[in-house]
Amino acid sequence: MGLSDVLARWATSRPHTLLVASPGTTATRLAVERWCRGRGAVLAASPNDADVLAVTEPADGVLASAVEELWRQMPDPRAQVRLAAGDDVECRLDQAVAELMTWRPETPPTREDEWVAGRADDEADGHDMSNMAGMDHDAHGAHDMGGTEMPGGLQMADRADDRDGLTLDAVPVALGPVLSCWPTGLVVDVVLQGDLVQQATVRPFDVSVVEDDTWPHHPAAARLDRAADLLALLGWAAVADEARDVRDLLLTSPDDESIGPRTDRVGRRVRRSHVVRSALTGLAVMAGSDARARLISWLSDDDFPIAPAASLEDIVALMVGRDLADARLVMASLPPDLSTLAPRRSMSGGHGA
Amino acid sequence: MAGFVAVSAMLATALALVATAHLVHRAVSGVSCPVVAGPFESGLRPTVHAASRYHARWYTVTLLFLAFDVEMLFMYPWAVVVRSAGVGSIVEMFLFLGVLMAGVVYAWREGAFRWA
Repeated sequence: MGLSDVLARWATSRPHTLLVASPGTTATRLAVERWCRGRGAVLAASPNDADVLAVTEPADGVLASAVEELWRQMPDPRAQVRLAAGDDVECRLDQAVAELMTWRPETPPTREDEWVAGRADDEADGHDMSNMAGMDHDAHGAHDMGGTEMPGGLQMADRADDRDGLTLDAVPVALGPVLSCWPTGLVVDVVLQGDLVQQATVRPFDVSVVEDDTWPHHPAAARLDRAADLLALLGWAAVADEARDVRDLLLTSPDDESIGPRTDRVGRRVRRSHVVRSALTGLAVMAGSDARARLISWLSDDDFPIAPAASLEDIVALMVGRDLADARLVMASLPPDLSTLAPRRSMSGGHGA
Repeated sequence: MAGFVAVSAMLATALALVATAHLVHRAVSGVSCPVVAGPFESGLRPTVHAASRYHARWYTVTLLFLAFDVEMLFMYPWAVVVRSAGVGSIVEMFLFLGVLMAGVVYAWREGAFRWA
């Protein structure tokens, strides 16, 4: 019907894309971001908001089950794209959007309860249930209200003492493999009381890291990428997008004359900003530098920006006692080098040794 | 009787609008019953239900706000008559505020405002 086609074309003019970029697949990730910017597409932060799921190979370890779960959580119409290293990213993504345009609802509907389907899949594969900190099967009596079943079969969180001598619910949350402005594949299990992090532990890293040759050859662009992530997490999308634009310009035409002035402008705006000052001063202090100092050094012309060597345990220890937003800012301001964590397998480009 | 006609007309209009909205949704939506999916926890499945209490620091700040909200209730009529009532009323109101401030300082020293 003509109206359906018109509506479908209008609806897919700005596809929301959820990007799962395996650690090290920088070139593919940048290509997807470039496609999004050229198309007017939006990078989604969660699967509820997403139409297209773009996954760069290899997404293994915890990322494999995470991608399946994200796929289940995406509402119809949806499309999935697996991008290998040499793929034509624009072509594949355009095909995915074309798939979206021709989607029609199935009768009878095949997707009804994805939560239950996910649990059945977990049990079929024999996976371990993820970290159960805070859940106590024997304490059902305290929470059971006349035998009512909590939605999803999940019990409420158990209680623990907090700093004021009260007992407050201790909710275990996974800051998990796929989160915006978070190193993909890294899982940090935090226990929250209210919104404050009481404990934080890193899960063993089991995602294979592809050998990256983009960032080591373009350190200035790498710094801008990190700064853009931190600024996006602070909510300053305009400056973050400008930083990403300059980063792309550095990678495609490094001799462009506008790079210097634009970087200076970004650095000036960040230095003068009150929000950045109040949010980042005194946060994530490591080797004498706080998050604000590091951000400013990333945006300056320094060839040797402040980059303290910090192990994951140190980074995660800085999160304790902070609220959830600060915890994510800590991770963004001390980006870990994931290639040092998973020396087991590193694939370079295509197949083969 | 005319009042009842007006009220029932209003009720009928409201019900008709709501029914129209529901019917339009039924006609336009792609699927009749939406998929039940779990909440997003970065790609992993949540292990506990997310409903939990706020941290205690919000409650202490709320109580303090309540005290000053009631104080403002006293200040509204005072503000209207203070001009005609004279200097005495200003002194009395500030004594009242002083008493409240003593309470705030006590709460402060007891750590009610301690943030994270």
